[in-house]
Amino acid sequence: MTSGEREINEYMAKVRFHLLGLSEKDKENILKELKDHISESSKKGNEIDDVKVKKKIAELGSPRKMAIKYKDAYDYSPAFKLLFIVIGGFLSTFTIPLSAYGYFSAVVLSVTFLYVTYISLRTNKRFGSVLGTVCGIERLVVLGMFLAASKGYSIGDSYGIVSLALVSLIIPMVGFLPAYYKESYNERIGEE
Amino acid sequence: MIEKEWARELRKGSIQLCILTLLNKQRKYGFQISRELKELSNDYFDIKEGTLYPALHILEKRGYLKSEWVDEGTGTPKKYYSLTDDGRAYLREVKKEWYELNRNVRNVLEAEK
Repeated sequence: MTSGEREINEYMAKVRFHLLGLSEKDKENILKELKDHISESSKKGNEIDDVKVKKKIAELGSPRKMAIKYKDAYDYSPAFKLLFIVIGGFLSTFTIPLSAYGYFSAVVLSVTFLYVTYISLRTNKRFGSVLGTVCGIERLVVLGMFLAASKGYSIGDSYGIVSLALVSLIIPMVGFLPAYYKESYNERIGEE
Repeated sequence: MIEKEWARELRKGSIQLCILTLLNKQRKYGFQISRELKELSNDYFDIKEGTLYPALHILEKRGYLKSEWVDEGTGTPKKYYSLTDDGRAYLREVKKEWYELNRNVRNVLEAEK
């Protein structure tokens, strides 16, 4: 193996690392195609030229940035999507305005909003809506379980009930809107 | 610079049209597409790998392109892209819009001379 080929392989290994979250099939396709492109553009006659490889890899930029561009276009694997939903559901558990939680629920609620916004931007509007809806439903289910299981907890006054309902309705929108605006913007400039 | 950003957006909007046009007659693989784009546009479209391949994937996801891996016996198989029927119809539509836009913008620019 020449030093140029070794350098290409090292670059590809780093890109692979940053493609975490995509399915194995997508990763393989991306890496095979990208490697072929680098090899072909670094050829001198029929051989890969080490100097050209160095230049090409410098042109490509950091493997992390390269992987991010791909991740914007590809879907996360089902396993990762499930993980995102589980985390969202877990966070939502602590966002209901129970008197027992105190201010803790407000802090977790802020974190949940940030989380749903981030995942929406990293995925797409459909998945963002699903995540937001799961979080909204999870809150209602958990509240029901708390109230049924123990008489010691309450959601306080009518303000608590209104905020519970309002936030449960807002979360799906938080999941939908960031991705919607991102996709609309990218469509306008011709790239997703 | 606002001017540079404007030019970049204009270029991005045209890249999709150019890619579809290049694939209208025959299937091509990524490196071929980027090389032909560069040559035919006199280096105006020097499209980077990180832009080209995700763009091809999105066009494929939308049903305008299809791809297949072809082993040509060179050791590394190549991923060839070609237009689907939907892609051809879309290209016709986009081309029509492009010519109309081009003609009308030119009308305005020439009226200002």
